Amino acid sequence: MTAQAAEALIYKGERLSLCSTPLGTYLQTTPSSLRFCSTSTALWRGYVGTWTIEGGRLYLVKLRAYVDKDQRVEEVDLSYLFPDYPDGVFAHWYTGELRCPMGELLNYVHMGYGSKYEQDLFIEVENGIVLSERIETNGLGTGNGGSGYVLGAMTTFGRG
Amino acid sequence: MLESFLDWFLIYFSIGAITLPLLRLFVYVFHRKEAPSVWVDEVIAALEKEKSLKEKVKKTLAWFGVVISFCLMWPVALAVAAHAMFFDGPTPLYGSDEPRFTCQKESLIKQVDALEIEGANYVTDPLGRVANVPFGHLHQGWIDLLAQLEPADELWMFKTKGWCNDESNAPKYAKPRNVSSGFAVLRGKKVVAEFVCSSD
Repeated sequence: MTAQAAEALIYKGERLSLCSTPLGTYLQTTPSSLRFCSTSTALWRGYVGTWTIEGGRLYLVKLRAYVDKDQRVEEVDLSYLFPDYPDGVFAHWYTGELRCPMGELLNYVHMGYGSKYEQDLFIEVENGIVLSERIETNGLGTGNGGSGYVLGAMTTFGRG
Repeated sequence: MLESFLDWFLIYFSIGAITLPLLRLFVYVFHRKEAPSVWVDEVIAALEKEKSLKEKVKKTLAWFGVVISFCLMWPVALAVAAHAMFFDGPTPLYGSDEPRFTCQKESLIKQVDALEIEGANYVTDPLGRVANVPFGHLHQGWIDLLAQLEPADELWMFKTKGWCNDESNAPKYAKPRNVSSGFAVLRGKKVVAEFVCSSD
């Protein structure tokens, strides 16, 4: 399998990689006609969302997604899913822990969100409302490795 | 006498050798699973390490052992297969049309009233980024669930247990993951519809 592209979380003024997919629950409840299509092996879910935490609440503020339209891949944005909320939606359906890897890459794993970084920021969310946050340290890098969530390789699907 | 015994043994062994591919064909035709997707193939390839010559020889010998064992004990294998077919009931196919639900019987918490649930699940947001209706952006899912509710049905609240990754190098999540909660319609003690309203 291939390492998957991370979502983005804008938190306390910083743009972090988000290794959680809070939109998944919402998509489970939508009709199958709204499903996204994969454009590469690094993006099986077919979309990348940008999230923010404002006033202790989790919002989806941007979406870059791909749909299959007449055998062609078309890029769509947030208004495709939420036509009445083009500026953002409250992710009240999400309950769980968001994970944002931070620091230097310690161990690259070419599968899902398996790569390990110096630290993980965990944000506990219940029904879209932030309850707590904590940082787990996984180790120290050598100072030579890069930072930020990286993908080693991927296969892009040629369509349309 | 010895010759006669060998003849009988060869006939017995040959029946086993013929039965094995026939049985395999039978399983392939009647219990075939869907062909694995590219994604599954990738996962399997990623999980399988490069095999050494010793491992390959070991695997080949193991297969040879299985074939020999079957040829020697084929009546037992046939008896087990017949028992599974006639007494254990049909095996559900992987590609069955039967809907699969997140909610299993062990996930059910309590029977609830639809009106009370609706009243307790209005979603509001100070930035106005959700409609003030039951279950907010998931409102249509709730409506779809209620549409399937028949007079004799029961509406139940459910929550799945999720799973924990105990591997030492796994991310240190504090709580189980893939915990889903929502509501399910039970008809004759069987889940016939569900609405997942909260999950990770």
